[in-house]
Amino acid sequence: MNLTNVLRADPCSGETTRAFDEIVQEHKNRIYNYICRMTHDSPEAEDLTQEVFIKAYVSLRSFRHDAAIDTWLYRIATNLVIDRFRRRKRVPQHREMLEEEGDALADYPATDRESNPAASAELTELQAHVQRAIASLPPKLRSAVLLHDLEGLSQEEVAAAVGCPVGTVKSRLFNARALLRRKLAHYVESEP
Amino acid sequence: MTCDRARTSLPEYIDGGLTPAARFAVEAHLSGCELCRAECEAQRRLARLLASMPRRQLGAEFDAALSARIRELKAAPERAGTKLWTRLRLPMLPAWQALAVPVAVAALCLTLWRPWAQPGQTPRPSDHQAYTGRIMAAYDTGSVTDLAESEAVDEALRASSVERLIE
Repeated sequence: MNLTNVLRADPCSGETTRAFDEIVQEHKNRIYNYICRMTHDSPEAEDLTQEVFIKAYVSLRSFRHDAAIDTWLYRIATNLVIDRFRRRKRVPQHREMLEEEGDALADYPATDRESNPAASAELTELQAHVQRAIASLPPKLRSAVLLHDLEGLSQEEVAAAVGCPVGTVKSRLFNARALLRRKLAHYVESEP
Repeated sequence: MTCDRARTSLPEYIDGGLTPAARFAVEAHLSGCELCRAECEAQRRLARLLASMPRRQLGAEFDAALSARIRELKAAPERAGTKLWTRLRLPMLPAWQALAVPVAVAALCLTLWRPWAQPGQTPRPSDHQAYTGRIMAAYDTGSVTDLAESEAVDEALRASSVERLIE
């Protein structure tokens, strides 16, 4: 896909619509998973993911070509989530998250649920613990660790996505991992 | 290298972001420090654990809802923040050239419409000698049929009489 042509084209042209569709299909699940783990509210995460792509569509012409499209989308997503936190004047509370996470994890595809129910149950429990540990992080540390360790962005890409220097990202990652390491000590130290 | 320094470098060591020299220094420390080695292993497990978290998939309903909203945007782009001007602008022209077209049209309209003129007002003969000459010629040939034009001719005649008297 030639993004330059897409961005120069009329936003209403068929070519732009098709190219934008490809962008949506390529990135929607990553953006959704990121927002889902940031907000811990899957219906709202779906709405926010839609907002991300609407904002992207509206501002296609202002997209800076020196940035990667996924970094740009993560930046829109981060801003929307932070804006949502500000509007609510609080971050999600742990009690709510714990209730939601049980349902949330039930939607995730289990790898070998049928063949090994015991292992599957153990894995689900472990993932629920990790999910809770991530949820307990302050939003800035959470976004850094989600983008870098779960979504696979480089530290430079994380910096571009959250709008801060690379040094700050390093520090956030260090602190986030230290907190996670403490919360998940039982799992990360006892694993053979 | 101290344990503190080594532990500070561990995240980047695990991510593979260290320079060869720094990497060598960390590895040298790890080979002789059991506690830091255990810490490094724990951090590796944490990284694997995070990377292996399950991922959700959005359903077809998402695509349908998004497509519907984009169709709405196309129907009413200005509501969503896209300026109508941007849509109307010819894509092949730079902004200043595209702007020149409506400006020229507006100037032409104003010239023809003359909103500052009072109804029935005609140009002063002294300002429009050519106009006066044309109207008077039309009067001489009897082709003036419009009331406003005939009044203009009368005024032009009066003005020319005054000018002759002054002379």
